[in-house]
Amino acid sequence: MRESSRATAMGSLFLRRHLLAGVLACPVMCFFVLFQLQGCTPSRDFVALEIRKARPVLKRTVSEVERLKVAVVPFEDRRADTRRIGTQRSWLGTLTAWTVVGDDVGDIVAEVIVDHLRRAFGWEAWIVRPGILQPDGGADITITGTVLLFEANAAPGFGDTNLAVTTHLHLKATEIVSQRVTSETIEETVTQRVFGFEPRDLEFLINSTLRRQMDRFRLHLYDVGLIRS
Amino acid sequence: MRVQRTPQTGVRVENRIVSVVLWCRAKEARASLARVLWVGVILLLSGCMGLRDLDKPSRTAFTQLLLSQALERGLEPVSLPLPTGATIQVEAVGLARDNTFTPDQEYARQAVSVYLARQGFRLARGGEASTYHIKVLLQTFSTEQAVQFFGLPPLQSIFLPFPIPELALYKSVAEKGIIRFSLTVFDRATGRVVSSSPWYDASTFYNQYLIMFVVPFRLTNLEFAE
Repeated sequence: MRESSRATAMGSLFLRRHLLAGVLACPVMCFFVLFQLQGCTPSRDFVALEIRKARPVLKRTVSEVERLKVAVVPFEDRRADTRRIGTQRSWLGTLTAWTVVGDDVGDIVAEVIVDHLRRAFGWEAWIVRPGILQPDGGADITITGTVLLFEANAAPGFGDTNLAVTTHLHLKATEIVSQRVTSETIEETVTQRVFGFEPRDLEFLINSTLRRQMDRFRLHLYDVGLIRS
Repeated sequence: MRVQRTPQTGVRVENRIVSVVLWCRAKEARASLARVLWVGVILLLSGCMGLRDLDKPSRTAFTQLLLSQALERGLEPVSLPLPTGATIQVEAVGLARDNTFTPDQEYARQAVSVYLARQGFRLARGGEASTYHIKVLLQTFSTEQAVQFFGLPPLQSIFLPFPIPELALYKSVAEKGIIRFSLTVFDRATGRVVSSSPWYDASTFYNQYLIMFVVPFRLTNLEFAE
């Protein structure tokens, strides 16, 4: 009888010790599990954004007389890192770097501008690129430019994602006939909060930022008298 | 001379009389017999007819609209950075069964050609050399279907001589037209890529619903005249 009670007491002591050890081990295990999970997150070097795709834009039609012929030369990229255009930081701290399709920011920016000149202004525009022939009569205006700053970042917020796009473009327009030249540096910063972030949100934001800069440059062209409308 | 009648002779005579009587009656019924036979033939032929099933087209009108309007929506943002007036030739390629050129691809090719012609480009006529060759890569150009049903499916009972029709508490038949494509422009003289567009995608849907056996309604983003 005495031996059995002693055995019971030893058993309960054994259980109590291990229970205590289990309770103490739980937070430590959780910490290590989280640490391991962080290692499981995919480390993506670069994700290419397709910034040429825009939300539906109402197309403007202008008369033949008002329709300017504009040749857009791919922009020069003067940034230190010509590939990266921004990052996305996740809750776990991992970073995803953004780039553009083709890794040539200056070329893609020029294509967005060509599309905007056509749709929003109703002008006849094309990109100057090897293999693309100039139309008969040539261009009225040539637009060249330089990418000085191009940052597109996505950071996690409280239940949402904060997007921020900052672009500094130096735009130059040359009237072919009179050889008048005008230039302007246009800075634009646009922020947006989205729920359920997708790269497409950032693509649309970058696209609209570039279009807004082109709208401002058009006003500048009008102010200096290079265009009439 | 007296003829002696044997029992066999009597039976033979009686048989002849019965045959003659039957022949006479059959002669009378011959006219009506022909009519009865004609009716029988007609009844037999009518058994071959039954109810004629309607010919089902391989693609319904709505499926065709889903495809064509998905393509139309997909083309809306297309913008080639080429000077207008350039002579182009369009070719469409996609994944098809047995690597055959399907009517869908031909339709896509023609639709893209028409869209670009409206943008100011000039289509090369037969035999004319074009400046640019545009290749349309169709990643997908098809429809997806999904059916959800909650209720009693149609049953053929062994006790009842007629089938029990479908009784749907809720039924939805969803059809979706999906397209994803890109355009790549080649300089015909050199064969080099001059421009490559992003992947454009668009979709259309046509969903039919039936609630509590008899309440039908539909949701769609198709544009068509009722």
